[in-house]
Amino acid sequence: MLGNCLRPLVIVLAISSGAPASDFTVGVSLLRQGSTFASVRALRRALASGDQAAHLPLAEAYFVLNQHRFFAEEIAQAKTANPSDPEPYYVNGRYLFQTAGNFDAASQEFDQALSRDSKHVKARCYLGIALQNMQRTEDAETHLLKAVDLLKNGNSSFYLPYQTLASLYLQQDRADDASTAIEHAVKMAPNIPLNQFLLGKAKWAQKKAPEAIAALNKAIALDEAFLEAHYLLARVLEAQGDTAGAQLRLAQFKNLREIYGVGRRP
Amino acid sequence: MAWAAARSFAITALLWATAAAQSTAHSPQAKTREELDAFGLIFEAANPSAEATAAESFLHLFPDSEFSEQAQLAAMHSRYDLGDIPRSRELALAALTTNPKSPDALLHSARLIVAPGFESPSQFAEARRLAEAGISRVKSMKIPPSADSRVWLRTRNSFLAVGTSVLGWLAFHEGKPDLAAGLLQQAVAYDPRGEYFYRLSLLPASNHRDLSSWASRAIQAGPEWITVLARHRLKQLNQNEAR
Repeated sequence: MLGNCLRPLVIVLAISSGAPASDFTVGVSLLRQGSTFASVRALRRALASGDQAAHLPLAEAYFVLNQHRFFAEEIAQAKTANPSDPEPYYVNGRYLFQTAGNFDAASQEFDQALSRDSKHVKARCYLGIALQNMQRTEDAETHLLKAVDLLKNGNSSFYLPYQTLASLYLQQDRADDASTAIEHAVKMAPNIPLNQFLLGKAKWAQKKAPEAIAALNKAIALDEAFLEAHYLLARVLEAQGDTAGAQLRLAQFKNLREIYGVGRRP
Repeated sequence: MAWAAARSFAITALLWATAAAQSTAHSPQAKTREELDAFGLIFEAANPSAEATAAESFLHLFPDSEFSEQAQLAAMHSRYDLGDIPRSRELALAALTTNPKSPDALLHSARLIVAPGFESPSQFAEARRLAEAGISRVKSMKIPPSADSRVWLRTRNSFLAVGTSVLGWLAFHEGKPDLAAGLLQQAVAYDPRGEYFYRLSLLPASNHRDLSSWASRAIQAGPEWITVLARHRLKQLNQNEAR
């Protein structure tokens, strides 16, 4: 656990000191830069020289490359190499969640991560999201609120708990709660299209049309393929009596649907 | 410069195919780590020659790979950029055998039938069929959930440009120069590749006044074999004007 906490610091020190970078350091750096294949080679070299910590970033690289068997092998080794580390369980949970859509198995992995570190905010958040997908909304809200509490103590830019809470509150017609939550997310990450879309949706639910219009326009500017934003904006403009603006947006919506199919979904 | 543009197209197409595959239940899986490493070398190639070598080596070493289609497409594009049309044709055929619905392979196969200097008039009907099938496939595709919309749109447009330019060139051969000019200019608007500029420079002067300008843009855009053809065309145009 301590070893993993110190690992980013070790990488920074190794790079800034001008010391020759280890295969592990190079592999992690390449992974973060998106050079995934090169990262795999460097991390395998690190493993060959006995650096067991390379199993986890190697598993992450195979996650990116969507290689099921190699991922499973490396994540199992990462768990064995450091049984008290929550990170391999969290990463495995994300893999099960995103690749297989297996929310039940994913939530068990997030639980395992939290049993090793109850303050693991990402595991807490994704547990909430997995539970939301399993229609266990009350449990989901509990975990998401705990994740938000953990964020209040730090200086993180991890907006996902707020975004997910806003989405959950909108489903429950709790417009004021949704608005408060999504405003936090937008403050942390204004360039995320879904944050702007949910802000627009929440503001519209609160009957604050000018703010809704501004947020939806931002969502569209950030991601043209966000078709639901186009559609909602047309509805808001129509309700405001701007028929020409609404028709223009609807025409754009239909045109873009030809290009993007169903487009991006919230 | 020319390679950068061509490479980004080939790699984007590859990425797109991969992303599309990943959105389905089964994405390509390497059987061994060596196979995955070899596939990675295709992505990391620094020029079309290296990419073609890496892709063809991969196909030779791992003939049963689930990544075969991606490797065939990469080799097909890089061989085309190198001006090796016969080899590109073999690879396009192999890619179509692997996946008869591949929009990339359908469109590229159509393009190869009308490739400058390698035209096969007896196959023009087949070129039209392939181009129309490819365009239809591209238009029916939806943005993959994880794709960047700008990258996806650029890739989609580059595919549509291939099909549109083929239809434009067929229109020229059918004696419809106005339609040909319109379609080729549409192809350029989709994706400003040297090949489309070059084709525009070949249209009858009465239907297009700025032939020299098209040839110059083809020279700039490349790839090298198109640059060579476009230089020759520009020289021809200058000689005609001097007379």
